[in-house]
Amino acid sequence: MLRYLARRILQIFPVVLLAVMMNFLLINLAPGDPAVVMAGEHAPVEYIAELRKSYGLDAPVLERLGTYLVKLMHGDLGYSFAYRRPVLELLLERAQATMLLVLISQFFSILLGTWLGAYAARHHNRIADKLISYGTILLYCMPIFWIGMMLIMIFAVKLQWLPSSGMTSFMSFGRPRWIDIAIHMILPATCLFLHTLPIYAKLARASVLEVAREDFITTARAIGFSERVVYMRHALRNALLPTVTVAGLSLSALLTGALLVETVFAWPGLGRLMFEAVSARDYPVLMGGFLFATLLVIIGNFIVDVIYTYLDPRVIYS
Amino acid sequence: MKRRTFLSGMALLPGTLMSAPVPAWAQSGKKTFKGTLVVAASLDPKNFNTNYDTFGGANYINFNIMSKLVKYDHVKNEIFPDLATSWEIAPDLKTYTFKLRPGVKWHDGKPFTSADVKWTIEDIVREGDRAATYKFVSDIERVETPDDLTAVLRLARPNGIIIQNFASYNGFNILPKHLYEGSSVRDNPANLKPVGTGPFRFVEYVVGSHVLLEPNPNYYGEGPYLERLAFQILPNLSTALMALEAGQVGYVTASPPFADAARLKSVKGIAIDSTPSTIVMWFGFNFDKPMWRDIRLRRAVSMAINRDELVGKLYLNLVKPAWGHFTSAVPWANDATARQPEFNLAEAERLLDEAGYKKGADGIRMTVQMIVFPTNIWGSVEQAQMVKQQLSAVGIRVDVKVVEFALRVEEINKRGFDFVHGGGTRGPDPSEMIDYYESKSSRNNMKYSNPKVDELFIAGRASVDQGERTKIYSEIQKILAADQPMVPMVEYSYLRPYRQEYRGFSWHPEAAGKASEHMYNLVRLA
Repeated sequence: MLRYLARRILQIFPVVLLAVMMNFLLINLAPGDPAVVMAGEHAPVEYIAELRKSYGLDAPVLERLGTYLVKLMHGDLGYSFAYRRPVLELLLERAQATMLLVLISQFFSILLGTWLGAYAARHHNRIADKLISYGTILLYCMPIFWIGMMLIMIFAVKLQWLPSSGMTSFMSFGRPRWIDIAIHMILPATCLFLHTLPIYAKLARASVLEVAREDFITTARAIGFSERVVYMRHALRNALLPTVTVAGLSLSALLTGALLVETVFAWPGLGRLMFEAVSARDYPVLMGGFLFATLLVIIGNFIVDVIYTYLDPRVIYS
Repeated sequence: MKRRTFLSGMALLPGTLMSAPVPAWAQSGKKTFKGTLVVAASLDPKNFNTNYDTFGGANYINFNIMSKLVKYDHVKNEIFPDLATSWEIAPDLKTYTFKLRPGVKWHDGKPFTSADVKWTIEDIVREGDRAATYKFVSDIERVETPDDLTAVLRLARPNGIIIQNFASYNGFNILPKHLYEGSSVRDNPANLKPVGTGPFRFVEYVVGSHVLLEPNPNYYGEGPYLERLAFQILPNLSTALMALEAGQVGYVTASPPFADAARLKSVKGIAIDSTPSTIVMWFGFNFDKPMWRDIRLRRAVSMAINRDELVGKLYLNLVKPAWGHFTSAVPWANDATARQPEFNLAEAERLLDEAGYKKGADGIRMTVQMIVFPTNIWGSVEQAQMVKQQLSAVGIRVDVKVVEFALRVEEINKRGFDFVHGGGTRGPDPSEMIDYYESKSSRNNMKYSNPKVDELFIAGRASVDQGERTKIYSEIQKILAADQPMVPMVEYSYLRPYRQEYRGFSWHPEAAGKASEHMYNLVRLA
C-alpha cells in the first residue's frame, strides 16, 4: 500500500507538467493582447511594445513556456498583470473563500443527497420515492444563478434574515469574524448545495436499487436484519462507490458552479478571479488558477482511490 | 523679465474665491462622525495608483482618499480649490504659480508641501507617454518650489487650460513624495495601501470583497460626517440592486437598466436621481474606406437615425438626444446651432441613390459592419441593435459585431469595420473633445482628419479667455457638423439609486463647490 502511494505521488509530476504545458499553449493561442489591456485606452503603440517587452510577451511562445516552467520549479507563479501583485498571494487569498464554500456545500449535499437517494430506493415506487425523484429533477432543472436570486429575494430582501451578498458586514462590527463569515455563507452555500444535491440523490437511489437485487441482500434479509439495517448498512455501503467517484471527480467541476454562485452572491472566490482574468488577459493568474484546478482533480482522484479500499475490501492496491 | 500676473480665479472660475467665511462645522471645533455608508462598486480597484496606469475600479474610491490641486464639482461642473488655494497665470501662459493649502497633513502624519506637488508632476513628465495622465502635464518643463506652500510650473509652450487639465476626472492625484521617491512607482506598496490627504483614510482592501475607509479628522474641507465608508465589490448589477433593497448597501454606482427605474423608485426607502454627464454615445465612420469619405453617404446614414426613438425606447426619455458634437451639459462651450441633420428617411434614400448605392432586388443597398464594445455605460449593444433596425428602413443592412474589451484594439486596427460605436466623456472642458477628432489622437478610431480642426484645438489650448475659447470651440463644432465624421446619438445621464436615509451625495445641491463626483465627504444620515 505504501509503495503504491509513493508511486501515485510520483505520478503527479508528469501529469501536472503536461497539464501546465497544455494550459499555457491554449491560453497563448487565444486572441487578445494582455499588453493592450494593461496599457489602457490612451496608450501609444510604442508603450504597448515596451510593456510587451518588459513582461517578456514579445518572446516566442515556447521560450516563454520554458521560462514559466523554470520559475514554477522555484515555486514562483509569476506576477499578475492586472493587479501588479504576486499570483500566489492572490490565489491563496481567493482559494480559501472558494474552498470553504465548496467543501461545506459538498459535504452536506453528499450526506443529505445520499440519504435521500437511499430512502427513496428503500421506498421504491411509493409516494416518498416519487416526491424525492420529482423534487430532485425539478431542482436539477433550475439554473444555479436563478436559485441564487430567489434565495436572496426571499431571505435577504423580503424576510431580511440573512445578508444578501459578500463575506463581511459593514453595519455591525461586534461579531467575531468567523460568525460573520458563517452567516454570510449560508445563502451561497445553500445555493451550491441545492445545485449538487440532485446528483447525489439520483446516484444513490440508482445504485442502492441495483445493489438491493444482489444475493447478499437476500441473505441479510434471511438472517432477519430489519429493512433499515439491510438498506442503510449493507446496501448503502456497497452503493457508495459511484458516489465517491463522482465526488472526487466533481471537485474541479464545482469550481465552475462556484463561479456563478460567487458572481451572484459577490463571494470573493477563485472563480470570479479567474473569470476577470480571462477578460483582462491576465495570463499568470489564469495559469495559476488552472494549475490549482489540475491539482484539485489529481488530489480528488487520489483521495477517491484511498477511500475505495475502505469501502470495498476487495480493492487492493499493490 | 517683466512678468505681469493676474488672478485668474477671480475672473474666470467662480468657486476659487479665497476669502470665503469660515464654515459652521469648522467653528464648532471637533468633527463628529456617525453612520456607515456601503457603496456598491462593480469593479475591483486592483491598484490605487492611477497616475501611471488606468485601473477602472480605482477612481470611484481614490477621490475620497487622494487629493488633486483643483477639482470639478459635480453639481455645476465648476472648478473648486482642493490642495491649491489660489493660482496666478502669467500672461504668456507659460508660468503657473500655485499657492498651496497650509497645515495639510498626509494620512500618515507627515506634512504636505510643495515638494510633493513637484515630485508628483515631474515624475509623470519623466514617465512620458507611458503614464496614463501624461497628456495633462505634457507641456510642463519643470516645477519650482520657492517655499513649502508655493509651486511654480514652468511650461515649454503656452497652455491656457492647465487648471482644467488638473481638475479633469481622469487627471492625476498628488502622491506623497516621502513614500514614492526612489522606488519603483508601479510596484510601490503604497499602491495597495494608499496614503493621501483626502476626507477618508484607507483601512483595508480585501481583493474581490471590499475596500474599507475611515474618516480623516484632519480633513481641510467640509466633512466627512460618516464613521465608516465601505466599497463593496458587487460584480452583478441585480445583486447590487437587491442589496440596496435589503438595506445592506446605501448607494449603487452603476446605472440600473432604465426600464427598471420605475419599479425601483416605488420600493420604500429607495430614491433614484438622474444626473447628466458629459458622456456622448455615438458611432463613427471608417475613413480608411473610400466610400465613407463621401459626405452624401455619411449624411444619409445620419438622417436615417431616429434619435427620439432611441431615447424613448431604450432610455424611457431619461437621457437627451445628442444633436451636436459637444455636450449640452456645458452650456458655455456648447454651440446648439451646430446640429446634425434632422431625421428624414426620404432625403436619406435620395442621397444614397445619388451616391450610386441603388437598392438591389432584395431591397438592400449595402451591407456594413458595426463594431461595438460592451461597457459600464448602459446601452451600447442595445443602441447598435437599434441602429441596425433603423438603417434597414433605407436599405442598409448592418452586421453588429460585439467585441470584448481585450480585443478592442486588434479589431479596430484591422480597419475592416464601417461603423464603430463609442462613448466616453467629452468635458467638462471642451478641450477633451480632442480625443475623438484630432488627426493623431489614439482614440480617433475613425481616422478622421481635418487640419483646420487640428489647428483650432491647438488654438483652444493656447488661450485662457473664456469668450475667446467659446468662439474657437464653436468653430470646431460647426466644422464637425458639416463634416459629420460621426453620428452622435445620446447624451448619457446616470441613474443614481440610493437609500433615502442618506443625504449629501456629490450631485446634491449642498455639495456644490465642495465635492467632486464620487466624493462622499458630505454624505450623512438624514
